[in-house]
Amino acid sequence: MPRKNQYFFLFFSLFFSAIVILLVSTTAFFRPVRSLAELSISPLQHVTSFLFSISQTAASSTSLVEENRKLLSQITKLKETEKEYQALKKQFQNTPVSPAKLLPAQIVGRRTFVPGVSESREILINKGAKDGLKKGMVVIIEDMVVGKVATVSERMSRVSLITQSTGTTAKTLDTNALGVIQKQGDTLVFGNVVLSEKISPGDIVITVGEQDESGLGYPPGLIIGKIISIDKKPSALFQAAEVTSPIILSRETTVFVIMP
Amino acid sequence: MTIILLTFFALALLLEGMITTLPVTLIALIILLLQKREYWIFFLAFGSGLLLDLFTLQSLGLTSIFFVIFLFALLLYERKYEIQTLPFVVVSSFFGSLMYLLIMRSDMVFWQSFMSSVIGGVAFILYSTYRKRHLKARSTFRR
Repeated sequence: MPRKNQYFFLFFSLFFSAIVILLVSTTAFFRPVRSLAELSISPLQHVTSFLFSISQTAASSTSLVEENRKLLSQITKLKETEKEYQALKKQFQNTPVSPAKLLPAQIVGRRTFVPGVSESREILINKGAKDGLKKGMVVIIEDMVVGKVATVSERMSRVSLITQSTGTTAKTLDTNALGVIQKQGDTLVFGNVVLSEKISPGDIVITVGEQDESGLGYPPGLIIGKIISIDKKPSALFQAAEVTSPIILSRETTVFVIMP
Repeated sequence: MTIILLTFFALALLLEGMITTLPVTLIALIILLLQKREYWIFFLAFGSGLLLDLFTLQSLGLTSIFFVIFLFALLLYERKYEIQTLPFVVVSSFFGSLMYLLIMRSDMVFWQSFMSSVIGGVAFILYSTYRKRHLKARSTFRR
């Protein structure tokens, strides 16, 4: 067994090496090194992600979930068209995003507390800065919100899911009741809704639109989820509703990034 | 016997890098250090920390710093406590996981730390049992 002096020397040398790597890794000089390292581990990530998604797909019925998602999407589109026709709107605020602006990306990582049981807080995708991705870009599946790009490296990005949202403005599709989507514990809540607004279970919650001048941020009309229960107290100023997202990420392998 | 520990370590690294947020790599390093107490374990901690940061898109070096500091702190307890015991493994796994998950801003920190300490305890028991049987078999063979 090595002597204590050798341990001290080893500890300090490794500690300071790690500090140096931490400081250097934030510089532009280190990006090619990180990019090369990510390239070498990406086959392993793809294989593991593929095997995991196979096991999740085989474990449960996907046809009903897929059908439910498609129906929800169709209902949303029909209601949108009906609203625009009746109100004679000038601007198409709730149209789907043009396919030309979407960049497909594979999910290469989805770490959870208990794999297959608990939901992920974030996912890793195989697109990064070299593909034009930036922090704040929105990630979707069909016209449903997955989340926003939180961290970008050369070849990969980390997407923070909408279920981890800390304040996204949203509204209900039917009644245009405005509120804020927030995470509360393990649930997604549509809160800060004025008491006089009418919301009910089954209402679809969509994004209002909060894009900045560079095109980053949620475009309007993307589906966040469906209201499953309402918390309304006459003595309170606001009401809140629990929202469930139609997307089950453990079964998905491809997402789309909205390019501004 | 070192191969068994290293296999457990490699599996833990792969699981934590790809599938789970449980700090199983830290647990594997704790058991490795307490069983072997060799200097190369620090290099393993350093390298695995870098790999984990690559897998999870964290700042490179952050996990290595934590692993190296924590393992060194564990060794400092060698004089005061009997460290090759189940209670020490469970307690160090729990507090190590707790600190690591708090630094990484994970959720369900308490439950993940609790699960990590259970995994650490079970792994320690299994390895210790196997080691005793292996040593007993070897001493019987030599006679």
